[in-house]
Amino acid sequence: MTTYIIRRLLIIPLLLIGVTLLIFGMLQFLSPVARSALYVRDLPKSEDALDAVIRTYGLDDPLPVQYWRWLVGFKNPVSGEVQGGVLRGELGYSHSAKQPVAKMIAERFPATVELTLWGFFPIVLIGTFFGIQAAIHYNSFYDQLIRIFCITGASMPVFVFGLVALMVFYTKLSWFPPGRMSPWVTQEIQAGTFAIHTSLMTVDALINGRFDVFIDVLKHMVLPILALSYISWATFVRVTRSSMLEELSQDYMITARSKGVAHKAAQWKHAFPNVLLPVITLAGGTFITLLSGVVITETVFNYPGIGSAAATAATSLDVIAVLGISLFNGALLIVANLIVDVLYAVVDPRIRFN
Amino acid sequence: MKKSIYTLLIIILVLAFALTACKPAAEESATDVPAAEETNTEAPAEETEDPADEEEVAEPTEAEEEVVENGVSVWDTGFRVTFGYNEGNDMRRVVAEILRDSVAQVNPNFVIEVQALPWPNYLEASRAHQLPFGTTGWLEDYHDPHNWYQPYLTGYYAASYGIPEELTSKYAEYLEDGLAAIGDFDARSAVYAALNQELYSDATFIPGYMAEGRHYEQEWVEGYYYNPLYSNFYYYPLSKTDAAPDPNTMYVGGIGQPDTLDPAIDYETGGGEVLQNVYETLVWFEHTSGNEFFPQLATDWSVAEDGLTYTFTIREGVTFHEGGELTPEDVEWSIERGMLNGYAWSPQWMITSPMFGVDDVSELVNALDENVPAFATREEMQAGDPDVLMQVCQTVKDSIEVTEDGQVVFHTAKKAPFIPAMAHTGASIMDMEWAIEQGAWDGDCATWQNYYSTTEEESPFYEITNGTGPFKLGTWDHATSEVTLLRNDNYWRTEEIGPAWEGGPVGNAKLERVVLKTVEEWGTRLQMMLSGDLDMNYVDRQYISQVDPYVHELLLFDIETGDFTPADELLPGMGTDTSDVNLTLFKGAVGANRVEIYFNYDIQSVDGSNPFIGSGTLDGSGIPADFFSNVHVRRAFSYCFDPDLFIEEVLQGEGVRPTGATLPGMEGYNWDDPLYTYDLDKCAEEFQKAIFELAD
Repeated sequence: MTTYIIRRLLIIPLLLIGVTLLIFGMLQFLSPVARSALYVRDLPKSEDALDAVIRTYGLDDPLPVQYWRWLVGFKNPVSGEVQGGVLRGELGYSHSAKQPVAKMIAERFPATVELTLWGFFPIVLIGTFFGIQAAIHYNSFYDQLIRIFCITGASMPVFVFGLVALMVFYTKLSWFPPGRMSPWVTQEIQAGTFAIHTSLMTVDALINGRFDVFIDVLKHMVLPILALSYISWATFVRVTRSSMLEELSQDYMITARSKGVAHKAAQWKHAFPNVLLPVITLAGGTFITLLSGVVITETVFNYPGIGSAAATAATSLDVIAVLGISLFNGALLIVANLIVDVLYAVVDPRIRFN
Repeated sequence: MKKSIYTLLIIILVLAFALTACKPAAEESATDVPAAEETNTEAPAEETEDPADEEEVAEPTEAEEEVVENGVSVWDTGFRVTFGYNEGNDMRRVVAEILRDSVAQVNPNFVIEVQALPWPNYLEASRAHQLPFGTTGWLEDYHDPHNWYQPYLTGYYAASYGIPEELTSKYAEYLEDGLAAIGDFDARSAVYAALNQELYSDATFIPGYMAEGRHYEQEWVEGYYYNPLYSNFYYYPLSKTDAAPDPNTMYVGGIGQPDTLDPAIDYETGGGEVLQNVYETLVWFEHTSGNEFFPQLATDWSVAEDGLTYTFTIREGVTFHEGGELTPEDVEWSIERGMLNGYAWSPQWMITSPMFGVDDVSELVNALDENVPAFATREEMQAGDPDVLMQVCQTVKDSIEVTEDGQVVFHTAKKAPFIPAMAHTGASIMDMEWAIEQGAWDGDCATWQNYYSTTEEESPFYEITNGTGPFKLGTWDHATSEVTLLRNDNYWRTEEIGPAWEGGPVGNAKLERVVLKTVEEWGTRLQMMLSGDLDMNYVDRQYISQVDPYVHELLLFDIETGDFTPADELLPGMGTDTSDVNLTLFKGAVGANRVEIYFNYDIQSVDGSNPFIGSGTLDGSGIPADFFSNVHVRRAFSYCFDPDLFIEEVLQGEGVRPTGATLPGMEGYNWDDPLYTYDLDKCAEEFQKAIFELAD
């Protein structure tokens, strides 16, 4: 197991270099003006200033030199300050967010993490449950109902579902508002009567012993989670259902049944664990997708996470921010993949030995 | 089955024959249309050219009635040009299509291809001055004709569109005269009226439209009025009735956040909105007017005989939000710091141009030390001759003096709009001691170059404020793009001081808090408005039909008074919703911006080619680079442009077409000034007069 993990860890730097090369390659498609945002906050506004920036930051140097500088930063000969440097966490300046990309990610990421943590379980658990039920009740009315329900969700554009959900649950019923929290919570934070510790609002609410805030924040997450669940369940149902059906038809099921194992027990104790494997793969992917920000869902529900930041950046052609977020997501993906792979190995001993 | 196919074929053949047979007939009948019917859009009344001749582009010298000595006539050769616009920009697309359809009607050899370009390609072509046509939108900095003429005729746009020297120098003389006449309404009007005649005769550009605005708010919002010079809203006069949910907080839905909160360098409405509520200036806009001012942090002001010296008496008893007392020295320092710390893209040019006749202090340095270019970078400025830097700083400091009895005197060098510049947020007054504590320039002439060209986020005032205004900054949350303003409970405008204008507010603001929310997705913003979570909301014109059903009160703008009066009845599509959402619509305010259609007088090629001008010569499959330098071509396009259709298509009819180049009410603006009307006959006539010399 340990060697397996070490082996996986050793690949990470290679993958990271690959990701940085890819992103750096994409950066080369930008004009020097746009690339100067990697080092300076304000785009040069005159020809002279532009030349000065290109000269100072060597934006026309050979690519390997530029790549190295992009990684480790650049020491400004006048001020002596080190500017930029992806390895130093400097991803450039975002003109759409009006702040450095790294700072933007740091401010937005907790919201996305919170949405991921709360949304992950309903998506996976309910989706898997539906899939198992559909398989157990194969070809029955119940099976068809689940499948129709989930396929509708998968085929509906999330912004349509989101806006309809807003119309019903927000405008008509006033149950679940958009945004991350109500204005009164914001005011309490501004007034200092609610302390921020982790930036995960639900966790902070518990630390502060504020159940009202906890409920408020949850209420704001209901619609995004609902929308995300509804569009993701279909995949879980499809995968779980088919692999469950496959397992149910395996010889060992007949053996189990003939040994006198109860119907339900055979399904859950014998077949289900084998179904878990593809579910974990899928769940891992879902987790990473959620964590890297769900662009449309966050935008529709005005949820201030990484996804809506990416959307804003993309629509205002803030390429530096988009690539910064991509780099962050790339690194995140690599780490999350490692975790999923390890989990995989834990669940299925066969993988460790191959 | 087979039979029916044959029948169909026969019908098609007959139809085709009928069409070909009728076509010449239709054209002939069109040529018979008498010239009196000028509005006929069917076909040109030009009968001199036979379509058959036009197809042979060959020998223009043999042209009939026009004497073409050593040139070619556009009419004979025809042309082909590409109107590139950025994908999704409906306004540009509509301009392109109107021109395309008109010129094709005038002469089938006139071909405009309309091409949607992805934004990066559009931007690149535009920056390289490759695009033959352009549109410009200008939002004024201050309400003065000069601010309109200068960019279009001699400044930024004139340069971008390559207006030739002969024209710009002619216009520049008018502009000089106009500035010299500041203070004399009639004299100034006469200068600009004459200039407008020149613009008409030159057909310099095609006046587009001034859009009429729509402002939607919840029925419980009180106190709204329209001032064209405000950045979005001034919250001091606004309030909510007790019937409103959360009656002490105003929630406003928008789509952008400030660039910076340093008043000296912020130059956009997102930041301007915050700044105009938090900071104050010596003078500020009278109620609904853009060019009348009341003394704000001054108690009065006077202008000397020569029109160059302005003396302000500074108000006493005004405190900054952080506790400091307003002094004349604060005023002096704030304006000096602005001029010395600003840069070419800050609003400081408005102050430096009357003070020194330059757009940026670097020009003053450049005049004495040519190693420092105009609009220098900070590094270039720091490398300048220390004595020169010291001297320029001293000049700036000498231009503003504080007298013994607490007045501040501005010695300007050049006549230019000065009072309007003093009302701009770029001339906001800061607390000098506090600002220096935060790391701002301390007034020492030996170090100013280290602060020159302060950038948006580098400024110590990027996200902190300390003004004298009715509101102070609560928070600016970048993650949610939300700005909160809190009431200044110690506002200086008391009952005794009285309101700034009749019926204006006094005392502390009624609102305790203003929340400026950024919600990018329109559908979400609409739902927030309908649930009452937004009191005022930015509504893009394309979405008005979604909001109109909830409008139960309509007020119409009166251009004479600048006020709104309740309409007798709602317009179609309004008030149809029966839920309990009640919105009020303020409709028809003409904004301080207008849109023009521009020609590129000097179309550039990159590496010898330009895909937008075809062959690049007048051979029927392109246009020459100086195509629009020909006044007849410009006039022809002006006649071929249908402004009513333009306003209908782009603004759903909610706009007016301006004359001249400025805004109504300004010196020299005259609704009766001549305008090119949509007239295909005259368009054709002008194209026939457009003769180009043959290249070698």
